[in-house]
Amino acid sequence: MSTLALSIPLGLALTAGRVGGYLPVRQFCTLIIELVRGTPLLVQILVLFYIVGSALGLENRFFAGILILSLFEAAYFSEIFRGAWQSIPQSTLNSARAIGLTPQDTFTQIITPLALRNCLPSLASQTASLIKDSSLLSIIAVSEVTHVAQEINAFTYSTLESYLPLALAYLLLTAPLALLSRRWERSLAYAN
Amino acid sequence: MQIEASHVGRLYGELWAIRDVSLKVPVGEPLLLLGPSGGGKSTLLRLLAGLETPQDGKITVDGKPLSTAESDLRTYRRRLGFVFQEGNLFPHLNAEENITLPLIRAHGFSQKEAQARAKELLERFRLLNRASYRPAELSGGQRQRVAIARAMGHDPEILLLDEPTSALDPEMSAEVTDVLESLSQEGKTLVLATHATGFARRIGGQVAFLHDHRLTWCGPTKEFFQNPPNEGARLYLSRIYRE
Repeated sequence: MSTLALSIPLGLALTAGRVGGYLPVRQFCTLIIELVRGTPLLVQILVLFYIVGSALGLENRFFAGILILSLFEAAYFSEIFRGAWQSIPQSTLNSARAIGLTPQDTFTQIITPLALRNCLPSLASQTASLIKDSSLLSIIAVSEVTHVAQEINAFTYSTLESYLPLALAYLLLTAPLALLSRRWERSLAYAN
Repeated sequence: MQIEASHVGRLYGELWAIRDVSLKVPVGEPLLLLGPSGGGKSTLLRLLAGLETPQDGKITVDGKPLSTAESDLRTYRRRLGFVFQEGNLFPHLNAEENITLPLIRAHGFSQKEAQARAKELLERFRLLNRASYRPAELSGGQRQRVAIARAMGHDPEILLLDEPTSALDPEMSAEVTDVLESLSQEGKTLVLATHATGFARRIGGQVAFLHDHRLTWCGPTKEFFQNPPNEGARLYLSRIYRE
């Protein structure tokens, strides 16, 4: 939850930087996004925690885990937001200009509701990925469910008994998300 | 409100969409922009509406040159009403909300005042029973009438329309032209890019004929149809009548 709360604003900031920022900001945001999306999460966790984290004196594994995962998901969220933003037809934006809306009103009244509707399915699926990606934090011994399952497996040597409940636990977390997003999508539907 | 274009030109890439166009928008009677597709009608309309700025020449409003700063253009656009070819209603808002949004956000109406005004317009355009329908649930003619109602909400001094009937079948076109004729009879100034010559003859006013990116003739509509002023106009009309 904390990762979600952090990565969505961070994702929005990256989108804003990439779409509207000055050239150096745009290039910086693009670099971050491509670097994060182009390398495995496992490597990012190890590098960011053991090299960057230790250099900065960040020792709290849980907190570091949240930060690393937030950055990773933010890069994906930002691309989802960018796609949703850019899928709004120019004719709609022209219409907003013609009726004399300010850029702020155009953003809050037109772009945001339309983009939200466009990105909801991908947003829900990325959030489900986030929940599952958190399992990789076990590599830096953050005490989350996968790490617990690994420990149980190490003590009892009962692999299936440790990991099947784990899968079920993830399913319990992600299934309501899918349901919720479908319901939300229906309430926002405006075409057809 | 007196709008005047003098020697206006607009360049897209390396192509002049219009060049050296000078005209005065008449007050209280319709101005019809006629001419073949690609001749510059829409561009001229968008320039007059402050949706684009000319690279050449200038547009003056009540004798003062129109500023090119976006905030000034926005203030100017708020005095006008603009209707696009496809209406361009906001798809996530219903008919009533499409009309109330600009009233509340751009014209300082309260929610209640805006709703009352929207109801009044929807009733006038025989759409009151469609107030809660979203654009996707309306027919093309209904959508276009909502778009006209939206543009009329703040009672603009001039209503500009870019081929408002060209995406509609004849029956739906008639729904829209009836509305426009009644607005014109009430003295609303309309500036209209159109191919609907039958409607143009009925509504009268002035014609600006654009051909090959230039304004080749400007004068009374009756005269234009009775005695086409130049070869381009004759060719244009003969093609239209052949259809």
